Amino acid sequence: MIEVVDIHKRYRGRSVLNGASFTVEKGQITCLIGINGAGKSTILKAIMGLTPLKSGTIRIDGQPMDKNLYESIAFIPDHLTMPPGMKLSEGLRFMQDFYQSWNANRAEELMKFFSLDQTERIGNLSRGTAAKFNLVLGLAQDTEYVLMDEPFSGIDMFSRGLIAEVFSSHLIEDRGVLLTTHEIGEVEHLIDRALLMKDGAICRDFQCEQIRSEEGKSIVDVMREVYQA
Amino acid sequence: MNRYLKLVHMEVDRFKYILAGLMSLTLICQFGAVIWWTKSAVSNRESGAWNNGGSMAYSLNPSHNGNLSFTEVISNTQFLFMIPILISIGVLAIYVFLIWYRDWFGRNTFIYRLLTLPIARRHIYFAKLTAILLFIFGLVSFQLALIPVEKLIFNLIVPSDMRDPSYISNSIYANPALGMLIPWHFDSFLVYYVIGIIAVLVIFAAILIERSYGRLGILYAILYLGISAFLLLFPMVGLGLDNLNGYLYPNEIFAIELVMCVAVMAVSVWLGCRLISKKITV
Amino acid sequence: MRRYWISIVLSAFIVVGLGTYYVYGAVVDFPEYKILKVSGDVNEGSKISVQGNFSDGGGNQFLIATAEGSDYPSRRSIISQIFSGSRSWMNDQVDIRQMLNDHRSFMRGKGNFTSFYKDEEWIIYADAVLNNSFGVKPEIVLSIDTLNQTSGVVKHYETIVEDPMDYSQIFVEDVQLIGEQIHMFINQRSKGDLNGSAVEYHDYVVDMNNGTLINNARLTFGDNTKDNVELFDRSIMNTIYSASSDHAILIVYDEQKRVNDYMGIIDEHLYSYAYKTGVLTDLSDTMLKAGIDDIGEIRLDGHILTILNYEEDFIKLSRYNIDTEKVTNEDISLSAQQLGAEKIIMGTTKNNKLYILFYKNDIPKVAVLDTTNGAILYTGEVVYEGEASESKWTMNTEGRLYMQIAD
Repeated sequence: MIEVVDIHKRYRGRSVLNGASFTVEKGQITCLIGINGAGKSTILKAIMGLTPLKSGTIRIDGQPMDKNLYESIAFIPDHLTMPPGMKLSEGLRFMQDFYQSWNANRAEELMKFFSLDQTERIGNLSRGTAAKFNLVLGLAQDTEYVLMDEPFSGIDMFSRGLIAEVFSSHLIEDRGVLLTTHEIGEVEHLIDRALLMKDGAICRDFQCEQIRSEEGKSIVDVMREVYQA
Repeated sequence: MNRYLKLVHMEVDRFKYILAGLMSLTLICQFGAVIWWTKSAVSNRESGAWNNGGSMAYSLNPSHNGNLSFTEVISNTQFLFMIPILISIGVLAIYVFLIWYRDWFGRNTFIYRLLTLPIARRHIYFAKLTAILLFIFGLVSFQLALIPVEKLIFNLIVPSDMRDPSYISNSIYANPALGMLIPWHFDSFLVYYVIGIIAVLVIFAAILIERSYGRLGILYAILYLGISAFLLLFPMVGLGLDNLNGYLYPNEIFAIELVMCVAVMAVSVWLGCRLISKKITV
Repeated sequence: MRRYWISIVLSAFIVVGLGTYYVYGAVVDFPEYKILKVSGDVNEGSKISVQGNFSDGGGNQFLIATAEGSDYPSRRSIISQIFSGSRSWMNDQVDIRQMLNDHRSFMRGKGNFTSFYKDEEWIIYADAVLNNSFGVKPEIVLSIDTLNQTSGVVKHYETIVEDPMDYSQIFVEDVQLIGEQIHMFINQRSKGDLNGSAVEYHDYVVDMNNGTLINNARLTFGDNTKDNVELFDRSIMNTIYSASSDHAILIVYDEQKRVNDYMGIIDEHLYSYAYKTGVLTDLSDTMLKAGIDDIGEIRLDGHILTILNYEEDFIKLSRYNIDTEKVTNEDISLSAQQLGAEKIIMGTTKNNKLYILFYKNDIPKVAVLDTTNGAILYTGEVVYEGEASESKWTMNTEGRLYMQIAD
């Protein structure tokens, strides 16, 4: 379980995170929802140790963030983060060099699934292809948790379909997934739990199934309540 | 250790084309200069201009008997030799900054990948440092290796009866840039290059300060550069080293300078490692 | 492993390349020139160093050759350059070097080597500072430090000399201790004068026990009120600056200027000032009577003035005793032919020996003579030592050759 407890962060004089707290369970797909600039990406970066916090704690399976935990938690940012001069095959080999949790077979499987050409250079990929490769790099690791930042933004419809397939497959099954998006329509049917962010904190935290059956509301309905109040 | 080496290799690999380019540039400029000048000197002498009392204006330092020596070649081709050296120094100086900034700017911010690798983050710092050192010493060694080849070219062009022998040490010193780049005495080499390394360490620390502190980062970085420069320069200029009535003796001043150098080096390395581990932000 | 070949090759290249260069460099070095003995006692030649140039296609190389080998000052490693460069003037004087060794803390901040006096019991440093900023009454401050070598007691005095005249610079030429009185022999120049600055020498006498100014003797020379005459002066103090001496020697000459050019020396006077008596004596006439008609290069050691004259074809050494006003010992006089030289370049004396630098057949040579009897103790020549095939250079005799004698 990823525990985020009362985190605060200031950036350029603004309070970006103001006491956000939540947990991410294994086996569940959790989604952080918020308007642009709400701090969603910042939370993911904070969990990954890519940006320091003013206060608050983050624990992964009870432990604070540590270099070895990078083997258990994968981060798929909103853009591809490999040097443009590298070929795709070299990128895969780079991951293999450093991660013990790298699963080369699964990487092959995913490359085939997305029809990616290994000899292509990273700098030459289109937006959609880059996003697919990004997913390969994140999902081919045997990690317990996967963080994804805006996995669907700017992707064409067909690629989106492919990516959505991955979500429902064995590749995601037992893992704890935390993703962010502001395109709620794309992910509504995929996610188990929603966290609504407002003013740097989590203001609504609910299971999607439960809200639908108990209150007859969709996520979009709840969002309207929260953001247009 | 293994992962550190892999990172070093990755950094070297990313720069290999530029490195090869600089080496080729140096080779072409220097071989070209040697061949062109030696050929024209030989034909100048063969044409009898010298025998007829014509001016030996082709050379800055002609010998009494009109023979050519390799030292003379080096002395007369200084400008062409120095151009690739200066360009290489410029490129490397820029890359001291770019080796970090290229991972932040641009479409694919590789720094995300580096910072989330399951390794101690100081390995990233030391890998980049090692890479820069490998580039510097690689180019210096390459320059060194070129010289005997250039001498060979000279020997091939100039017939033996027109040749005067030369000492390698004199030949190298005939070009002041070479004399500074590859000084004859090892302790001079150490002094020059340790100063260079300290500069790289201070710049690395300044870059990491800038990357860790948002908008004020650039100011803090400049402040750090300023303070380091002051601490390093002050003993040599501000303590009366050349002053007739200076209170401190010269070897006391040198001891203070040495302490300053070690202190600035240590603080820069410590700061760099600490910032990249704890304070850095993407 | 194979995919790392670039990094491995690069690293190996660096190690091999730089390693070979610096190991090789430790073994092979620059061309060696040495002073080789030709005749006489080799020990006499051990202190000589000959400075000169040779050219090798890369320009003129400046080098210093001794009996041991050669030194190339411009090619020294940077550490030795820095270490030998800073305040080298202090380390060059053997007496000051010794004092720096023995009394490190006393010697701090004392940079004027003519301000030292040393004898068995005392070390005295007496400097003078001119305070003449605008709007302030001009004054000279004498700053005196005394160290008693037996007791280790250090005393410091600052004595003010008020002087209405407007001086532009003062310089301490010599410090002597006579009894319990410290004599500071100071050269003072006043600011901008129509006829060049007027020069004055002062002998300030200070009581060593309390720092009070006992006497201020003023010495002036010549008549610089004459039109077109400019006075030049220089002082000759003991060769060993801190040694005790009863006299200070001054050379003053009038030079008559014509409009647009100098005519040359008209009148040269040699004066001797005796500290004990305060008497200034013009020695010129007595020296002339003793057979010395040209001052040449002159040194003072105690009471003895050593006068060395040389040209390309002869060299002559005379010794004149100030107290007795007579020449001591025979003059030593040699012609270039007698030496076997084409041209005499320079001569210098040290510790009762006369060193001569000359050349013949394009080879620089040296000779050492005993000044007491004129006997030739040593001769040597500067030769190139090394592989015969590598070079046939000789030291450039057209350039400036110079000789120095180590302590």
